[in-house]
Amino acid sequence: MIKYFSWLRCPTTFCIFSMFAVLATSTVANQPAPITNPPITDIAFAPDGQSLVCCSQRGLQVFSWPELKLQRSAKTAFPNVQCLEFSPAGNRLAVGGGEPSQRGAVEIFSWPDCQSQMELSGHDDSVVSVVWRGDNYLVAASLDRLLTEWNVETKTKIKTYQGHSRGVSSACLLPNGEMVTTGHDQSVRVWDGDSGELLRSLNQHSRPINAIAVCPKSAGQPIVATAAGDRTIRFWQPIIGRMVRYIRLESEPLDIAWIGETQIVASCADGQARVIDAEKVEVLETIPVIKGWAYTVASHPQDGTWVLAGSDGQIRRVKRTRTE
Amino acid sequence: MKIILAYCGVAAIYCIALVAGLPVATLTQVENIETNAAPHRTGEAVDFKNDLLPMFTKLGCNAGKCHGSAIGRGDFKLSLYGGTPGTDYDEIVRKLRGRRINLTDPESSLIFMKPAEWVEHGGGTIFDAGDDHAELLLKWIDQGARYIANRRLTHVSVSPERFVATEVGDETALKVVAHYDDGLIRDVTSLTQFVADDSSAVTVNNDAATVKTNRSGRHIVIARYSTEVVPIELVVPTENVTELPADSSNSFIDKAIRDALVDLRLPVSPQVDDSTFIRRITLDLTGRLPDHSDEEINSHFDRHTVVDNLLASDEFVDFYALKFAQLLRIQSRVDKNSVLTTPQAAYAFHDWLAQQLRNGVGYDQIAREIITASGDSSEYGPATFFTVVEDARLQTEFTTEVFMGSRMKCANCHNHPLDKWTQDDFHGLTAMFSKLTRSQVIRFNPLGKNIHPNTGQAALMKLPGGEFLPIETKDGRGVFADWLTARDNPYFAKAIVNRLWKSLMGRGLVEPVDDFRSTNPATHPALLNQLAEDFIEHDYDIRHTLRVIAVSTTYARSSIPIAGNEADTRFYSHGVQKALGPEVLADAISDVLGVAGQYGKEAPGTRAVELRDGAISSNSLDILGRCDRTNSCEGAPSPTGPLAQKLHLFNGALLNGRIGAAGGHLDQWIKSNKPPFEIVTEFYRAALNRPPNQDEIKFLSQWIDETKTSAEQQEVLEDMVWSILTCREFVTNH
Repeated sequence: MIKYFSWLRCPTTFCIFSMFAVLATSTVANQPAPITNPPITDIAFAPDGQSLVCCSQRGLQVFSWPELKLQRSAKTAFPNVQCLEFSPAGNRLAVGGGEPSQRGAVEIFSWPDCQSQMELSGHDDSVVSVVWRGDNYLVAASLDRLLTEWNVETKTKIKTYQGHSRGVSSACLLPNGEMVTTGHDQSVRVWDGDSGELLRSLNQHSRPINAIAVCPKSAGQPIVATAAGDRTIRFWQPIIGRMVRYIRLESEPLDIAWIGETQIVASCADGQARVIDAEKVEVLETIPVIKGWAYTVASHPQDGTWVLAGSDGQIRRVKRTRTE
Repeated sequence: MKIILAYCGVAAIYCIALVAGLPVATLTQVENIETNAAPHRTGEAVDFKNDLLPMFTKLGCNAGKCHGSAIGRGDFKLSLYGGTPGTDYDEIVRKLRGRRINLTDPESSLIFMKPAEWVEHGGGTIFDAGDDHAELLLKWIDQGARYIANRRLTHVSVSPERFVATEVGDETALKVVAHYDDGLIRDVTSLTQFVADDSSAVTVNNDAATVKTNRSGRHIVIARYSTEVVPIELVVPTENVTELPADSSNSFIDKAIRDALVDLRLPVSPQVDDSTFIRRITLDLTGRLPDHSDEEINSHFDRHTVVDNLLASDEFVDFYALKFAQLLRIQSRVDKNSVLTTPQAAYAFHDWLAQQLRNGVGYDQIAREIITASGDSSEYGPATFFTVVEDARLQTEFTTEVFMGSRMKCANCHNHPLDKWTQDDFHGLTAMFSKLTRSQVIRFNPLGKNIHPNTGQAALMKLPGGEFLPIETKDGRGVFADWLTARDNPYFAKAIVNRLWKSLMGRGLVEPVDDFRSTNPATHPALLNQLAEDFIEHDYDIRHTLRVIAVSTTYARSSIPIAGNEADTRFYSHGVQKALGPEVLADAISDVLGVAGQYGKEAPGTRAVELRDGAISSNSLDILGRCDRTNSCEGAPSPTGPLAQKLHLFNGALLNGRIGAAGGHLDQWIKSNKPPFEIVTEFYRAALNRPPNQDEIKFLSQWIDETKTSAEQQEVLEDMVWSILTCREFVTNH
């Protein structure tokens, strides 16, 4: 069902036209969400692009793509589920979370059968972001201010990244093996992936940072984008510790995802998606998507569609057609 | 339906009572009003704004020392006392991906487990699982943790508003009723926080909603429900048994003061004699010592006539121009090599003020002209008002302090914790002042804007506590001036009559005089209202209000306490000893000695109270405690003065270098062979407006020996003059 339809002319000499169709779906087959639906905290496309995995306080839910029909559910070992990440090989799904202010853990599920394989515990507060370093290692970022790297095969801790003065909010891996993290201490931190040594701290954000995403471009200095409570999205070259540019939005960006090498989509606290030209740092499109906060956004690996999810268990698919 | 029945019940009682001639309880005494403050016991959805946030306030969660602090606590920040429900809802429900709320298992919610201390909580155990507060919270989560604000609170009433105890130790129950815009009236006592202004004087039991008095006096308990705060007055009489003497005064001032004294059983000091009265009123209205040689005053003494004459004098204009110049912080100012207020601008403003006072212009007109002033401040005095502070936000603080007696400063960063002011109020008023150039020439600047810290956008112009101005409004100052000087404005008239009251009585009915707020009520609220109404009825005439106060019995009460009223500092059972201000003291010394002071490059003989620029240099005035006018000058000097002042008086050149100066009174009188005892008596009359009393004569006689050499006599006389000018009786108005 098409809930919303908009289009505009992009300010380029090529007269690029974009069209967005927001296709409403939810966990309960297009019916208004019951008021007790917890928010969707993270989403991830399966490696083959055939399904979408969502997490919330209800655990895991797997939807078919693009129909968004509920295929199966899985309980998690902890009540507060915060993040998802598929392993590079696509045969494992790491789910982070915990019990707020008590413990944080990562539960590993096999994929696609979604069977719990193990739980990696050890944090004092929820795990909110997980990054795989190869198929057998993962790093868990926690609100207890620490990041822990695990050997999944041996279920042992490899090392701890210590430096954030408040909770860690997100993490990503650079092509050169360095780790970049963000925190509620408003800092972006760059770590040596081998030693766990803190290489540099970047402090231009003025409010807690919500999310980080690495630009998929293959050449030159790696670029990461960060989204924060100061309503800015900042673009960095973390290897040399440089902030390249930034843009301030009308609403707080809660999550970001790259669309190709030059555009980014942000899911915002006003429920809208904002498409941003990362080079010109201008908003190309603002699209109302969900009512409430859009906590998470994911871009489909093949078909150019993205999905936003958030308050009241809402999940919305946004299809973009682009014409020159 | 229950509410309607409750009303009917109250109405019936009211009618029966009227017929029977019995005392009638007002509706605010709510004995029969439905009590439904516990929605968790009903089927109604929990109202986030009207139920849950007040509960957090009652429990102290959003107080300044806890999560209501500027940076919150434990990464959890609430608005102070629930001032911004929307952001609080986001913080509780939505921030950190909703981790504080567990909709599938409410008892696993962090927002519940922390205060119940099921997990470690820095604030300790706030409630027990199963009590009313816990149930309310769980029910709200169970209902989906929605943002529900079913109705808007219009006001809150408390019962009793005033409690007069019989004796120390008396206890009373408190009841609080909330009134909403949909007509609902309900008992919210269980959601109300009670805080004693002085916790040693009153013991508050918040669970039982009772207060117990611990000592005599007048005490204030603040009831806080949602964003409303209401003061409750507790009066505990002293153990005195003496009755007040009869008072034939028709003054509403005397009646109000007397009523409070009767409640407190405080005895009153007698009326002052004529010489003390004339010294007191002359200093208070003109800043000068009385001219003791004025035979007309001394022989045909009528206090009303004296007051009228003083109010009509040029000296009154000079002195009150100084007082208003201090209030308005008039002084030339150079900051970081740029001139903000030129000396010409300071002179122009001072002279303009003096002219308004001389012409008897109403204070409303004075205020309006100042607030709407534009032009070259060096030529048009009122425009200087916009050069004395650096920016528009400071202008808002300054303007509201001067004309409303309100400290709105807190609302710059957050809604005022102790008053009604919101950030929108602060930044809405600042938006008006931001559209002015801030230089020597004040003019409208259409590009000026004030960025609201919450939105990051230009703040919209707004009247304090009122409406936003239409978006097309250019210069909003006229609208603000209209609102401020309207007859029904609740701040303007009260703020100025309170200042006038303090200038004569030594203590404001609201103290500090620039801190009007619900949580700092007047000692005599009805009197403050009457003074304000009387001021408005008399066209905002400053002289009228000063006269009404000056001719009251209360004003003429002796400052010497009697048995039973020694501890009174607020109820005017005796007069308040007021330290002479630096300018007045400096002039008084000059007058008594007959040796003029020198201030900067001003002409010799210029009096300190006549200085038109607060920045004119004077070491003597600085040491005596002159206000530097960069901030509020409301801090009154203590009767005995600071140590530096005392040392300067005792040892400095201000006295010692001038007592025997050539051409001074002492020098003249010695040279004219005036008998030493007459010289001392002259100094007594000049400084204290009285001759020496018998004890003093006896003491002086031991030292005045006409057989001594002239040099020895001069030394003795200088010491005696020094003693007179350093004694408490001289340096205070009493």
